[in-house]
Amino acid sequence: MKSIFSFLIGISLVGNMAKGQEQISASLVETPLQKAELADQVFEGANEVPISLMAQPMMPPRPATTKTSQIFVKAVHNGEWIAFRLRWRDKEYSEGGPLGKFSDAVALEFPKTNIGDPPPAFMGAKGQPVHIMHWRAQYQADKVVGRKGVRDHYAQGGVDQYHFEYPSFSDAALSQDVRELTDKDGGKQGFWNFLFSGFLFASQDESEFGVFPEKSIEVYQTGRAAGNPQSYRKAQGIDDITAEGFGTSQVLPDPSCLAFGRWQNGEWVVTISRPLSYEGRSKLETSTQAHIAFAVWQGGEGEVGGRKSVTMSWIPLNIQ
Amino acid sequence: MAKVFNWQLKREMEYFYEGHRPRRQWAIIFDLNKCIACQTCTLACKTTWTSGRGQEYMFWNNVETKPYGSYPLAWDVRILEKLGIQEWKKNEPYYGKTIFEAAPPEERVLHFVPEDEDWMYPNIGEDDCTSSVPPGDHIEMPHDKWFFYLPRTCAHCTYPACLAACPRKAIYKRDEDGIVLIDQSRCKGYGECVRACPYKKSMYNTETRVSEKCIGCFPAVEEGYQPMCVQNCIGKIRIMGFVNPPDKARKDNPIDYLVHEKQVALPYYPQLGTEPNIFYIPPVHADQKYLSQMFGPKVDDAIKRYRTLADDPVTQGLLVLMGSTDRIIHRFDVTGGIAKGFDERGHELVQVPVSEPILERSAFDEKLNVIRHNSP
Repeated sequence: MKSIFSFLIGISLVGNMAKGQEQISASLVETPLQKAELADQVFEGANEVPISLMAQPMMPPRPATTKTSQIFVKAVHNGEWIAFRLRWRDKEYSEGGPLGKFSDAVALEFPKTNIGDPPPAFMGAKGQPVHIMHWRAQYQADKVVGRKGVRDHYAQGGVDQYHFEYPSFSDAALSQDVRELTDKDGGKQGFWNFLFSGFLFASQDESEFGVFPEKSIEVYQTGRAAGNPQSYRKAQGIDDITAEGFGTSQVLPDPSCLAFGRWQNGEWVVTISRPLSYEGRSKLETSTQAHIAFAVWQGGEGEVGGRKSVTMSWIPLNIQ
Repeated sequence: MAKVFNWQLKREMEYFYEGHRPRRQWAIIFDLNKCIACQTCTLACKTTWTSGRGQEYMFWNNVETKPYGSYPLAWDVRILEKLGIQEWKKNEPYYGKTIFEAAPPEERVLHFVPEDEDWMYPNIGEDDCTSSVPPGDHIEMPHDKWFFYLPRTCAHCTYPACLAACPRKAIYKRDEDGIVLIDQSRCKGYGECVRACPYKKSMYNTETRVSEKCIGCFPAVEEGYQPMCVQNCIGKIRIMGFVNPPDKARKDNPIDYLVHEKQVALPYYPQLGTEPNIFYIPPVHADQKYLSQMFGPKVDDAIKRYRTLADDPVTQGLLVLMGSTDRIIHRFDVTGGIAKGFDERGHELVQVPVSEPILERSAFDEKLNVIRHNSP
């Protein structure tokens, strides 16, 4: 217990030091910021501030050592939107997907309200929620090229067939035998008889021949059947999250924030922009000092969840 | 870390959460002397639960050949290696370290992370013997060349490592039957349970991006039926029921009888500390050093007792009740050469003779005027 106390005091001291040394100023620009990918020129006038990161120290399981020791941050705003340009070293691009492989990621955290003292920077606390924007290379790939699945991760893998997922009529892979059967029978009936070979199938509501409703397939995809946001395509490429302590994060619907990342020469550059006034989530105001915190994951190094590099405390964010 | 009592180790041990035993604890007993690795259990499970996209490599139930088979690759060797040499003297509590006690300060559980490739050979080492059998060799008990089959499901541990490790508390243990489940709506796919489970029975679904595991066939259990792997076991080597801790054991409960009363069924790798609830009647022919590593220092006693069952009609009766009904037997009785199984309300589910009548047929069939061959 003693060691925990001294550790927490240590954290607090380091945190205060960090507060003294590190702060971010978002300078005013006139450029539209409501875009996923923002060119470097947008941030030309902003100072790049190095922010120190450390291995998440509070809650096991956690990494023993940090993989990312610094993140370089630039911020600009135009009175309505604020944008961050985040840069950190990461020797390999990791998008995750296959078993045990995780995605590179970065997150911004804000107190949900500006009233009183800010909540604990480590994911907030009960009754003191935080608002998080969590970008992953994996989510970006969802948005840009579509959600990758087993066939993408294991191109050489072979599977006979999945329930309710059958080749469509136009599938070139259909054998000549099947084509002849379907032609002979005028189409549909013979084809399905061939496929099901007398099996009874219960799906009555297929909207289009050969295409089964998602609900039928979801029976075999429990994450989706349970409505887990992880199991669906991240169309926005970024998650909006609220949390009230470790392990409580919840994905919020319809994120307004936008993000885009590029990995080049062992370095990630990710831009994240958000409305200053983010309805029901967190509010930033011009000419005030707000709070922001950062987290970085190097997925290729097995960093995921609580295994992350984080800022030691809130970083002052001055919105000019 | 809280202190909890682990009856398999006969001592208190450290666990991430306070101890809470469920009202009932799901359990399976496997008689390893009878398993032929036909994998019918594996397919029964696979076709019921894991035939979807993203579950291609998943076998919530698998059967591996010991000592060389493993799924995922080397799961047992790797966690034992991590744990290091630990001592367990016979008739004493286990004073070695568990995976909770041996965890470094930044972790909740001592673990290893299987690689993607480690899951790609579900039946590697199948039928591999410890050494080849030269022509003219003869075998004595225990065999100097051996292998045996180890069927495995999730052990629905009393102190699950997966549950302890999940930072989101997305894994829970049901109070009504002790079944451990991953909440499919809350899991974020961090894979902490995959890392932590020493038996490697949590698996990641690359399609849904969340983890999954054996659900103990809870929809069947809720209706009084045994899980699919048990129902479909053609060798009748399995029985599912509910196990009590030793101080609450009931002699007429099939699981308690074999685990506590006769002590012929033992948990596997109990030294890991999770108090697993799948139990094995150890194979009588295999190497005892290996078996004591897997089943603890009292494995030789269990084997000795098993070999005396020819004179024990009650245990014999219970063994023939295994596989004789799809329903969960809550109470059994063996009287007058008849073994009976009863459900929770005391209704008789099944009765079977302890010994089948033996019919001898002469080698020559008078009626057909032919010599009978050794065929049905």
